[in-house]
Amino acid sequence: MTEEQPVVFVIDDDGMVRDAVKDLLRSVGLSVESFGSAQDFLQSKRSDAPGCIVLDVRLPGASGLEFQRTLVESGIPLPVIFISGHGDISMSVRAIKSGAIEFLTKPLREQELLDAVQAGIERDRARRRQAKLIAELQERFNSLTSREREVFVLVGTGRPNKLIAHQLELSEMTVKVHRSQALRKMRAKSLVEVVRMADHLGVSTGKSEAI
Amino acid sequence: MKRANTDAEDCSHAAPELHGNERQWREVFEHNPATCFMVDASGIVLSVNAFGASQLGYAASELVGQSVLKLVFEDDKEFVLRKMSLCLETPERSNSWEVRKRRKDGTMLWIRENARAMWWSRNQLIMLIACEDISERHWGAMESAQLAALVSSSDDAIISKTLDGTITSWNAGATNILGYQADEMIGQPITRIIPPELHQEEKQILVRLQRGERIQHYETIRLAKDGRPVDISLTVSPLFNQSGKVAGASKVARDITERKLAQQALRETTARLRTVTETAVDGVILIDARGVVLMFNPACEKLFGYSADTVIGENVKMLMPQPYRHEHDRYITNYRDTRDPKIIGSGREVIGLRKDGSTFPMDLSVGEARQDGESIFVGIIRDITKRNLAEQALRETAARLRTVTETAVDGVILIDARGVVLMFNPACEKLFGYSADTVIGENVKMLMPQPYRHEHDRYITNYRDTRDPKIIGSGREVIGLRKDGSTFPMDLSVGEARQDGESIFVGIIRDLTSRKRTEAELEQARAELVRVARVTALGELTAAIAHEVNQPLTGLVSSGNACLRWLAGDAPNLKAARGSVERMISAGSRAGEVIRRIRALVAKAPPLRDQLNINDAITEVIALIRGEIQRNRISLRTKLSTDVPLVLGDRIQLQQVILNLILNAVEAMSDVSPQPRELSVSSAKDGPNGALVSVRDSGTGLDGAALDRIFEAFYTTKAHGMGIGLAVSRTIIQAHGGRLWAAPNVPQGAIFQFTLPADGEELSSLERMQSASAVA
Repeated sequence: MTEEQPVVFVIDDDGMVRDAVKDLLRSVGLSVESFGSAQDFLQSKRSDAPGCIVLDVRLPGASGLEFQRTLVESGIPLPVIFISGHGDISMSVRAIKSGAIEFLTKPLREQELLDAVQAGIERDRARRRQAKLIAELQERFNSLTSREREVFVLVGTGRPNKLIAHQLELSEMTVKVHRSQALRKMRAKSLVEVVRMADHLGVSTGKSEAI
Repeated sequence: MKRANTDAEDCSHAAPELHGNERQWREVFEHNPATCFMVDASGIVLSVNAFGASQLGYAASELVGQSVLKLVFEDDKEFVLRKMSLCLETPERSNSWEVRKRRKDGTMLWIRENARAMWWSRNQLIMLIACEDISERHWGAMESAQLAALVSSSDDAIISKTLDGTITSWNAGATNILGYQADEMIGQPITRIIPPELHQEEKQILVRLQRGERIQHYETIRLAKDGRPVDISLTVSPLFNQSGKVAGASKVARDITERKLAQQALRETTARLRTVTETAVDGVILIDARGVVLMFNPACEKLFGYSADTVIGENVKMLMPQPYRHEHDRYITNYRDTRDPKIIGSGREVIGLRKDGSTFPMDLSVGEARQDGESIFVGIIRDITKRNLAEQALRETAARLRTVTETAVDGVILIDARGVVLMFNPACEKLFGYSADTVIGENVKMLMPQPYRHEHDRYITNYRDTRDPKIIGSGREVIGLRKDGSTFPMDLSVGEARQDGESIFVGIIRDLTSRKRTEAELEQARAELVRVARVTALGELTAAIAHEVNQPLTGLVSSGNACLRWLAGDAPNLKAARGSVERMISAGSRAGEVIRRIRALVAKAPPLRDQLNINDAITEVIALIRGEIQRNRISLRTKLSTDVPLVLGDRIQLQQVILNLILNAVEAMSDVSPQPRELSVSSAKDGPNGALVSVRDSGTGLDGAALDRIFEAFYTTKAHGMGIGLAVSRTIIQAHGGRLWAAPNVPQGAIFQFTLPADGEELSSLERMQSASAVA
């Protein structure tokens, strides 16, 4: 997989902090975009690249934690690193539970920030890879006939052909044909791969009817 | 009379000359129906005729030889002597006079005497006296004179009139009563004094008079001269003429205005008395000396349930139950015999018996009066059932009050105006440990320790003299002295009451020991709260400051890191590095600005400038955190010098500094167990005008490095400290123109001290210096 250039979004109402953090991140070769408020960020046109958000927990308007929720709801799955003027244990716990990468207190320790940003980018990369994979699998899955999908899903559950034939009221032979077609189209080389694909697609059990 | 005189003359002439005819003359003389005396010049009777002697009740022989004056009424003797002398001086002339004589039996008669002296012989004068009894005439004249005098001097009006009503006489009484003079009225018609509406009445009177009737005590009205009506009682009698016919009338009128008024007054009094009696709320009974009821008023009827008719005429005993009934006769008899007024007087409480047999308490007052020479008794009766109920209620109230007092949780003491204890309730006994017997009668001072004991007399005296209610009122906190010598705090409320015209004082006492304990606990809680609030406030302040400082700090550090990175490697990005350094400088400047702002913030609130006693400020702070000190088992010593001058300053700010220093000391000692935890707070004079306050602890102390930095903001040696208290404290002290510093204590711990100038001018100059240094 080719790695895209990651982007770090810095959101802090304090321009000086914003600039200093942006400076530091750029000094390690990261691409940085900074915003004075959550609103500015949400309205910006962002490049489709892996990245993460460095967010001051004390923001004017909505608090950092509320903003984190808004991100999830708006389908912006970027990891968040909180920075705060003072350490508040309960606030940091809540932030981490909501999926924050890290909760850092000011003044920021360089390495902690860089590690966290790196971790955030890595997590976003992984998420993006996963998303891409699932999208490909979904594409392949969509190319299957409905019978092939049925058979593929049931194979994914580990059932033998005989059982599948019985369940679908087909001959074992017919099942074999559909099975080979489906695996070929899905580019699955082994039963293990089929099971994983079914899992990624969310069609592993009992969901066949829904598809 | 004339005739008698003539006879006497005849006698006197005939006697010497007709000597020869003496016998004949004697006969005439003897049987002359007029009395004839012949007396000598000295008045001795020479001869008297038989008629004369018998007229006076004597025999002639009894008179001859006696002085003729013997027969004269004593008062007239001198008069007769004079007359006889005159007669003797002028012989042959007749003289006559009237004189009173006495008969032998003592009765008096009026005699007209005609006397003539003549020569019996050459040298002898004799006197012939002829006497005529004029008594009858004399008395008659006298009678009419007396009558006239009576009429004229009578207070009653006596008027006579003719039958046609013309007034013919008018006496002084009539003038007196009716105002008219006699000459005004005689000849006037009687109708002038009769009111027009009564003219008819006068005619009727005349008719009755013509029939010969007499009108007696007829009450009517006549008009006085001034037109005023006069009440009179009239008696009219007919006057007859010589022929026996009614010719007129005499009226006797008596002014009865006063009698009328008196009668009217009496009637009114009686009516009023009746009304009073009838309407009296109190019962009124009249009994005679035997106890028989003469009167029984309506109030009595109500009281006893008997009607007056039933009771009047009965013995009053019927209204009394035993044993009063039995005693009553004895009372009455005893009073009649001995005049011992056992039953007379007011306000005996006795029992009355009603018709229905029930009894009631009554107040009986008995008075005695005389009626027709007999004693009668008046009884005034008041039903005192209600009063008795009231008295009972009073007794019950008193009993209840006693119960309340006896069972009261609070002590109740009653003292008189001299401070002598009159009452001491059980709660007091418990409070003070004395029994009531011990304390009652003693001076209340015994329950007070000095200096209250000493002051108490003054209080009482002062209150008595000036009525200045220093001791009256509620809620003074004083100290009580128990029997065992221990003392306790108590709340004393004192009230004044009047008893028999004297002031008495009621003291209500509440033991404050437990309240004091509660107060102490409350104090601790409050101190804790203050500390928590202080920490919280400091926490918030610190958080705000931390954020403010953290921002530029974050910028500084991050930019510094970035700068290093730009400079690292084979091809350092100098341009970027320069940018980073510029940001660092900017961030550093901003951090400095933040610090300046904080200092300005503290300095901005201009300290109040009050003269204050720093010792008071310290005492208050200590009171506030005494709980904290005790909880940490720290022994506190305070040495507050009395010669510390007053300082100018903001009490609250200075107290914050003191509080901060003491709390720091307390915290510093919280870890030093088992070493002694000793806290010492002292004040002293500093230089000529300043004050020095020291807070010493035996805590963990400060090492040299710490001593240099503790006043820096955010520097702390404490596990949970914010590092702000001392910095703020120093700012406050400096704003007051003073100094705050720290030094190690010996053998261990720390000393924090600050000075404050006292003089205002010095302060302001220091203030200028301070603000100058703050800007720099």
